[in-house]
Amino acid sequence: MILRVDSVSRTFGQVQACTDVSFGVGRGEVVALLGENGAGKSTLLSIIAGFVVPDSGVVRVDGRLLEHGNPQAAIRAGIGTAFQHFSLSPELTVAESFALARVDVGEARRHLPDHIDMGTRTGDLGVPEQQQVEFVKARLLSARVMLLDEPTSLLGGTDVERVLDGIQAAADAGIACVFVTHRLREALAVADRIVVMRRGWVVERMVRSDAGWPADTERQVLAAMFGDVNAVDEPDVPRTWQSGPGVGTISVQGRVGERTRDISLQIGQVLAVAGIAGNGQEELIELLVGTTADRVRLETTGASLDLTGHRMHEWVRHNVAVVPEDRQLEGGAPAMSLGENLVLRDLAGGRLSTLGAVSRRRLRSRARGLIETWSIRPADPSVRFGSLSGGNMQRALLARSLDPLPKLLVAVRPAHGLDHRSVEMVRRELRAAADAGTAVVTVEGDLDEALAHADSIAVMYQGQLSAAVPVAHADRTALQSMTVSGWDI
Amino acid sequence: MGHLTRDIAVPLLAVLGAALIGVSLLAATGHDPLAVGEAFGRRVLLRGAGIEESAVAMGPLLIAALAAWIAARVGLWNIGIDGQVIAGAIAAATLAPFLDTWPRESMWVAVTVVAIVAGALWALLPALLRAHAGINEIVTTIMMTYVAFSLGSWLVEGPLRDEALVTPVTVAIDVGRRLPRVFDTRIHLGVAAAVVIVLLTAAAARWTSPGILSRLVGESAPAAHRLGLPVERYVVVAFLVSGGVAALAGVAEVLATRGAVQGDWRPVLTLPAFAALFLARQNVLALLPAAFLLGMLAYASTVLPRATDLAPDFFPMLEGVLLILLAVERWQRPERAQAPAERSI
Repeated sequence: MILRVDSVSRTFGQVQACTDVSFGVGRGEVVALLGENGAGKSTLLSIIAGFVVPDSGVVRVDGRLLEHGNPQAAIRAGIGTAFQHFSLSPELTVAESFALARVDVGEARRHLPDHIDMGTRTGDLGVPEQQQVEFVKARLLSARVMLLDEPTSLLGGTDVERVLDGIQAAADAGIACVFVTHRLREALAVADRIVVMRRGWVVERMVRSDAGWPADTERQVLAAMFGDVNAVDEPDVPRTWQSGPGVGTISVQGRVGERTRDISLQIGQVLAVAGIAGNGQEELIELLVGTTADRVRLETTGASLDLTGHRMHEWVRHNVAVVPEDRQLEGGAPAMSLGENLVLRDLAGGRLSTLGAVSRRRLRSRARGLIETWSIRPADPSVRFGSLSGGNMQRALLARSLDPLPKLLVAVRPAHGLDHRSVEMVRRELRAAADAGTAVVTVEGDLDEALAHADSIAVMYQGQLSAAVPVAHADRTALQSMTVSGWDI
Repeated sequence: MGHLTRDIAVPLLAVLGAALIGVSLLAATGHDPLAVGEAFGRRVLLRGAGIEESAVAMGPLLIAALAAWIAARVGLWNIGIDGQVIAGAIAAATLAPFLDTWPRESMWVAVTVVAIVAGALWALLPALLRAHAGINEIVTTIMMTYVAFSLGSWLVEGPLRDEALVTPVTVAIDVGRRLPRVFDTRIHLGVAAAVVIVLLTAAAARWTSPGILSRLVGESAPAAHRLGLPVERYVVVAFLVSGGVAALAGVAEVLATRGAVQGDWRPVLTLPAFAALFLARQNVLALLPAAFLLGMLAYASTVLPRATDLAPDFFPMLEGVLLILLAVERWQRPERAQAPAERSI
């Protein structure tokens, strides 16, 4: 074994990111590390690369103990990294980035494929080519180990194939590769062994034999990634597919991925868009909130309204609310007060002001009202928003987004990182909003959470959005497989 | 340390630190720090005329600091204040002679309005480049200042030159038609107007909806975007207002201080503006004492060299030291948990 990880554990606050993780990678071997978002894969790689200090456990390279928390020591020990966001500086040419890493440029030229020009700015290269530059650099720096954190997450089609070829070539050159991915298909294609993590634990290990992968590898890995299928709670609220007051639809038209799509949202329903982050969700959110939409069509019983251009943007401004994933940075201004953050949507929508003038007393009483109704703690409008706990921050954002009720609510991973009680609150409020006549869309990475709060589920994979299926008829295993491997149309 | 305590303690410590460094430098260069201090007290701090002259010197600094504050409100750095001042001054000096027959009050208003438009136009290009192409405004505003300097010189030495005079200078406004002094002091109306404008801006920031929302744009543009706010429009408008406000310092030069623009005039207001902004910890009302302090230093640098054999550059250097000390503090600032917001409701 070139790389050996023994009993590594690390907690962040209450979260067990890695618990007693052990695995090894041999010369020329590719180990695929699979798991959902938050399973602990990135933490593990960061520990190996020296960016994060483990609470306990050791990492060895060639039998020698690696100093924790020292990236330079990791590099000297021969650990190379190709993380999702490249360490290449986009302004430098290929030759310059080799020179900067003290790699012989002539030697590098011989290892690079002919179509990569040494004079090109690395920022102008495609992702697979950037990856190849990183590989060659790692090889010439006599790296023994290569850590690849989701190298394909931003890619599709032939680019993925070329990255996988690159990994294979690195392995053939004797480098021990750790390949983190969400996509089972890629792991099966390139790995010699698969290690599955869930909630910080290693829960499954599979080995490819000369005859290939064992027969039901795919099913086993999925079960390991997502937990026991039978342990899922059935949704406790009986739901019907077409119900609720003010039945109607909001259709948003615009580009998702390569194609123009018409996304139809039912008023009174919660639609969850499930999928692993990085499959085009950002694009979908921008479309739903109108930034990139071409038109919005509203249809209720007996009436239909077609909005484009300025009228569409007006509609969006007043009728769409967003509960973003990053509560600190996208939700509000951390340095402004809780009270101010609570009234921002009102002010942006032209409420609480007369010809632009604002009464601070009105703002304060409005904020106090929301704090009381939504039990936000501390119940003090003057505290800094950034000092609130995650749950209370989410309460504040929901309070602001749901009062007054929007026609369309887009909530991104609304229950993420919250404690049990806050998760319950979020689910209840999404349901209540739908019942009161809002079309609710959640973008959700956690399939169980999606099943728990939605009426219907669609899956996003590599920029494509699947058709929505009612949760009552949803096949959990099939959905899991869709998030990891896509689907055939 | 509480937030308010910190907001008061940090600037005081920075001023104290700059003073200590100043004293050490004086001693090291063979000056008598006590004599300089005594002269500063006698000629600036403890003399009515010293205070009044400091207030006069404060005027353009206050305006420039306000311009910097307005851009900073939406998260931008307006480093091109000097260029916008020139644009305003040139516009004022060009228009004023044509309004010879107007009542002076109407002339002031017309000249001010046109100068504001000129300053705003001078900020337009950086604003558009920033909002729509993402090009860093720090670079573009600096470049615009150099263009303003060159263009201004050419205009004053060419088309706008008063042919009756030997040195290049624009046609001067009669002393009787310039801004009058307030009560019986040396302080002219422009300084009083600057103070009023700062107060109005503070009110707008607190009691209007765009005022509050602009802070969100500056603190977190993604959050503003998620609320459906037109972030680009906020950026452009704030930058235009910033440039328009900066132009007022040019108006003061023409309507009050000199009555004309001189060919070699190079306003140096951007750096002091940021010194005042940091000293005030980005609180708009605190710009008043901050700019006054810098005004005292500016006045001191004109009177003390004669009295104490001190290099005139000593006070601008003190200002630089102050700016560096404040920058160090900003850089070191820890994240404060559970601290009250800067302004609560």
